[in-house]
Amino acid sequence: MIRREDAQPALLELEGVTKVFPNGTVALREVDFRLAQGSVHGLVGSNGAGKSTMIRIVSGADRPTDGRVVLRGEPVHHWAPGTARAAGIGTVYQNVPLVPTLSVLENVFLGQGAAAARVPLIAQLDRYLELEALLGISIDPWTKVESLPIGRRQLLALLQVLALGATLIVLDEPTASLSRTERTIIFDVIRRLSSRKGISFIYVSHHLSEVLDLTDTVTILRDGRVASRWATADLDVGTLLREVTGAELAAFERSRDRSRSGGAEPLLEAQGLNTKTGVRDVSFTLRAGEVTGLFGMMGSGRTELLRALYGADPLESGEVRYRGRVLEGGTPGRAAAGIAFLPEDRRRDGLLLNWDVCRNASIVDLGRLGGPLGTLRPVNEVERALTAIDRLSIVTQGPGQPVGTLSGGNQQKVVFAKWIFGDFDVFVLDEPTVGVDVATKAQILALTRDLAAQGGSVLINSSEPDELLAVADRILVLRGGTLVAELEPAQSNENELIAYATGLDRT
Amino acid sequence: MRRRAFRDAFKVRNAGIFYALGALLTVLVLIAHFKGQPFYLRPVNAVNILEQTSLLAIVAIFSTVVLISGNFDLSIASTAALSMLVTIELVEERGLVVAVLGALVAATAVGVLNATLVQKLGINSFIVTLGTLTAVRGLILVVTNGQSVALEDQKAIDSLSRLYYPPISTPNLLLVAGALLLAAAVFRVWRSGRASAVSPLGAALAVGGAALLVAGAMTDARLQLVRPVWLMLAVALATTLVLRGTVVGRRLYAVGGSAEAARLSGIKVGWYKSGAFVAMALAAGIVGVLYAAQLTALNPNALQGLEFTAITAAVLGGTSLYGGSGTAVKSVGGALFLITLQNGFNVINLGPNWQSLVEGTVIIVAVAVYTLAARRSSAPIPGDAASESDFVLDESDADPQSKGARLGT
Repeated sequence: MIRREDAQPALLELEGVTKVFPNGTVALREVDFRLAQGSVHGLVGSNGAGKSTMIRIVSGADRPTDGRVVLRGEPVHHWAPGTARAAGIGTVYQNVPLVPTLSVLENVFLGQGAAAARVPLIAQLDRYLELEALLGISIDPWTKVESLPIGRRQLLALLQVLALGATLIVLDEPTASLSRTERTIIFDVIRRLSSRKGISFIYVSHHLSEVLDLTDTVTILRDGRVASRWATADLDVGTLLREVTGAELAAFERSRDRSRSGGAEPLLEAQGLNTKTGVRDVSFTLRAGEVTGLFGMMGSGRTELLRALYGADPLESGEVRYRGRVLEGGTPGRAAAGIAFLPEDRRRDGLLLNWDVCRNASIVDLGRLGGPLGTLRPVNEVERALTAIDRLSIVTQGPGQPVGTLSGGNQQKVVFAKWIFGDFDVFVLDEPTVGVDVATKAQILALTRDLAAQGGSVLINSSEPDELLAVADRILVLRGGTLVAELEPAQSNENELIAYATGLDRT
Repeated sequence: MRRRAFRDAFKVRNAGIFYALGALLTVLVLIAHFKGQPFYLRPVNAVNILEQTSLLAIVAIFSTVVLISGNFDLSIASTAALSMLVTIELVEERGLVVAVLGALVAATAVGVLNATLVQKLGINSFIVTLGTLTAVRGLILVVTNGQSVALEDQKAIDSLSRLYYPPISTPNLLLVAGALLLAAAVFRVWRSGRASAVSPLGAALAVGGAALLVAGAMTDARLQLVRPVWLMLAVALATTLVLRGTVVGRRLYAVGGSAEAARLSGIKVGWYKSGAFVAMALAAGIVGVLYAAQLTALNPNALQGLEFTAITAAVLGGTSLYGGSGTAVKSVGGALFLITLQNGFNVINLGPNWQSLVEGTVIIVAVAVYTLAARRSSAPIPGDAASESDFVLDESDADPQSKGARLGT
């Protein structure tokens, strides 16, 4: 499948790399991998396919149990983060490890430790401007990092590894939380660096279209093995999706014959909501059996609206009614009424990371799972967890595994498990598919439809128009904290959504 | 699963304080032996250690509750001293009942004040309770004019002392232990369903149990324990049941583990955090009454430093200072350890100047050992989102990076 690329000299090779963790999990089995000099190499696979482990081995954070790492034709010895860095390998993670209270300049040279402190500031600045020119961007070096938008921080992380002299850069889901324009900038930078400077990239992403857009070569991992390797030119989305998910294509197919719910009973009514966080006079009604999409650009107030709806942020004015009754008492009042909330940042706000699957899944429903006098019934909780693991196909060692050690998609499934088995019928989902793989994404969207089919009402916020078009019965578009449109997916499209969200519909 | 949980309970990272206590006792027994002193753990000394531990342990248990909820309470020593003061001041003229109720109300008021300042105004609990620590102590100094107060009315002294003395005897401990071992042996056979299949462990349990019964029949292995020791046992049991076995306990751990995740799960975070302060203050009040009953006098500087000793005991018992973890029984273990250490200095005849140095060193070493044990047993498990860098072990879930990177959608 690959011809052109093999002619290039290999920068990095993995030969028969196997990784077995002390707990017996086999993360990688005899993986062969070849990265050509100056190429952008996509690495795709479902959650748990072994991408993270492979990145950790490439960056020296883990050593292979078996097999070897070959760098520029030489097998490496004593592989460790320090040696990998010295050999010019840099890694940019999804959560950028920058120090928010330091300036851009200080952050860029942070990785160099004591050495940087001895370099005169003027020389540092020179080097910084040089790097900036290389990337073709400009960020004021004196700005504090905390005041930069997330997209800029990703670029900064890239600057940071370049400052260390990296010639092989591993990008782990760099665009997961970026807007469209920010993505375009990152892609331009990557292309420029690889074509002009011969810097090689390993690009890990769940966004298949990005992978097709950006990379020269794609390696697909499945269950810890290399499923296949392709020249990107020979690939299309369908093939890639099939390769990633294996034989059964789990992509969510929308059933067009979904029941219309116009006349159904209104479950939740928002009336004239205003908040200090920027929601302006928003009113809408959620009905039973209906999935309502919420779309908008970054900063349009979507998360703020959902938080206000759930009582996580106070309302300045307006009211939220559930089955006609005005809701009060913040989040406990909402949860008691039957409203479920899945926050945007599931690791921080949705889960207790060092708790196991069982205790996380039961926390909102302890009253019903427990015994008399407020006692706990562990048997019921384990049963609930096992049901959740089975029904949501959560990949875990069992109900006793801490959720912090699960992969992103499986963590999100545990967050779902908290609510969907309880006595809840309004589901407020804030970006439920961010950072999860395609197969899980399809499952989550299917689950969303199921919840509606069982008489629930779902409000789903997403920055992916195609996702909303596929799953929602109607889509609300938010701009500047105000609802600007309500669209029918069947009669709408991505461009229309974006036009409303950006305000282009007015011109 | 249950058996694994049972075995896990004995691992160093889960029971570190009891291994430390065992090691300390062994060392002291040996030192006493080679110095030609009587057996270190002789009943009179064991009873002494338990008595000294009891009130500290009760405070430590509730310090643990406050720490689990994610807060600090430094005001407890002053609160307990306030309770002592109210008891002593009221008992002669108003009688015991009014004195005790008054003391508990005064103590609880401090807890409500702490809770209100922390929850309603959002001031850090460390600062708030540092303030109440100082202010309440100041109040005591004002009321007593810095002078010690001692009860003189013998009737009042007698009625108050009865809360503390006389000791209540335990059953013959050897008989109890023997009966328990035999019961365990019988249970094993009953569970396996075949009398023929007696495992070596089962046989050992039976033989050991029988031996203990015989020994118990020949000796009077009863301990005379003062009331606070029994109260400590009851409080430890009750707190353990509430923390481990009830919805309230589970939610308290959730609140301390991640207040935001708990709030978004519909838990009344404020109630739990406030409740911990009030329970702590009430417990400090009870402890104050019992100290008053023991001493029947008040030194205005009494109990200073109790708060830090209690928090040290909790931390020795594995309680996280970041909230969300800790157990009552292990904090009692921590208190026992600290008191045994102090008691042991008498055995070794170590001058008072050396005691603090040794105590501090031992505390740091003990905590270091099972921090390392906990770290070793939690090697990262592969998973796409859980890289080692963001794997949180015992701290709260607050991840400054993700906070900073929060999107403005």
